[in-house]
Amino acid sequence: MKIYVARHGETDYNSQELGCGVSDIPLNEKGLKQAERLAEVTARYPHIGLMIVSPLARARQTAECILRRCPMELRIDDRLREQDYGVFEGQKKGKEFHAAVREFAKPCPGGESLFHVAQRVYNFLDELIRDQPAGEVLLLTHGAVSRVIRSYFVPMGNEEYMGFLQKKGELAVYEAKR
Amino acid sequence: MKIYIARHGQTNYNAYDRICGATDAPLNQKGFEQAEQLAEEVAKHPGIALTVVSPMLRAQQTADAVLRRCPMERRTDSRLREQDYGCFEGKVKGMEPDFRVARWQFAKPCPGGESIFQMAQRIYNFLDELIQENPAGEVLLVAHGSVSRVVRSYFVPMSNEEYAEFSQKNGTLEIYDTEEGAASR
Repeated sequence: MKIYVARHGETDYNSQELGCGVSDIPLNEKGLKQAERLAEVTARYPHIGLMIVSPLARARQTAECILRRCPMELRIDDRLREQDYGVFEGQKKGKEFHAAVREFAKPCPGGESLFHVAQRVYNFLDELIRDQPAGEVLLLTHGAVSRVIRSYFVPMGNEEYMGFLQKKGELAVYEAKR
Repeated sequence: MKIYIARHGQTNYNAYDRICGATDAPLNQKGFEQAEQLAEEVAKHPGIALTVVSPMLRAQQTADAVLRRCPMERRTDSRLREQDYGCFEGKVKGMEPDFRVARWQFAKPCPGGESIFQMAQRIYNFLDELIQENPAGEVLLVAHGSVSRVVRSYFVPMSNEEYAEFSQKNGTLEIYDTEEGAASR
């Protein structure tokens, strides 16, 4: 089965470089345009029959744009929510933030560690691949989650892991074998 | 809830510096002695009512010694098995500089092996379940070095450096309290 992964469009937190994990910030104007473009890209893949979306507003708004252009089933799954950056949520991203998010087994204070994100996202993917919903699936999610998803399919060294950022407005494609 | 974790006693793979993850090596003489010492240590904690053991022989043999001294309910759970080091299994650690790099990649398994992310998934799932089922109990896990590291990270935030530096010795006991999070001894 094929699994496609996309990220939401831009929010004001993104453009102002503020920590944005579980902060539930809507798309800004640029983000809405990015969502429209993503819908055009998605339309090239008519075999996608199901979209599973993070519950955060920026992801759901992006999904709505896609659904207007591409008819398919929609589900929301909490395990696709973004990593929680704890005390750094809504704060200007500085050295401390960038150092903290490189730790795998240590959350930002008050947040969620990458081990915990890997647990929930790998559990989600195990289930999805086991249940094999008909057709191809699009996951609409976030930056840190798309990195964890990639690592499920492609071995990533620590440097490669931290350097990977999925581009907004593009679909990553992974082939899942049961 | 209190969770005690023991690492199995020594095997010849440990004694002769061989890489031993998925390899099912038995305890050696020293390992059996360490298992007996561990049993004495566990006997000091009479609140422990359940032991959950890795399916691997070295862990089962260690648990045998503990349970002889401290009879209690015993289960085996394959999620407590050691990390699979793939192509490095059985090789001499000191002669494998690539292994020293490969084993600390979190999202990249040793070729043919299991990644730390995959381990975190199965062990965190196991601990979530265990804590839900025994909210007030005291449970002993008999497992392995890399498993013990993941278990510690569940309770204590560990930076990448701290993670690589932490190493539980053969036949010793670590204690975690789900209320406090932090480890005590």
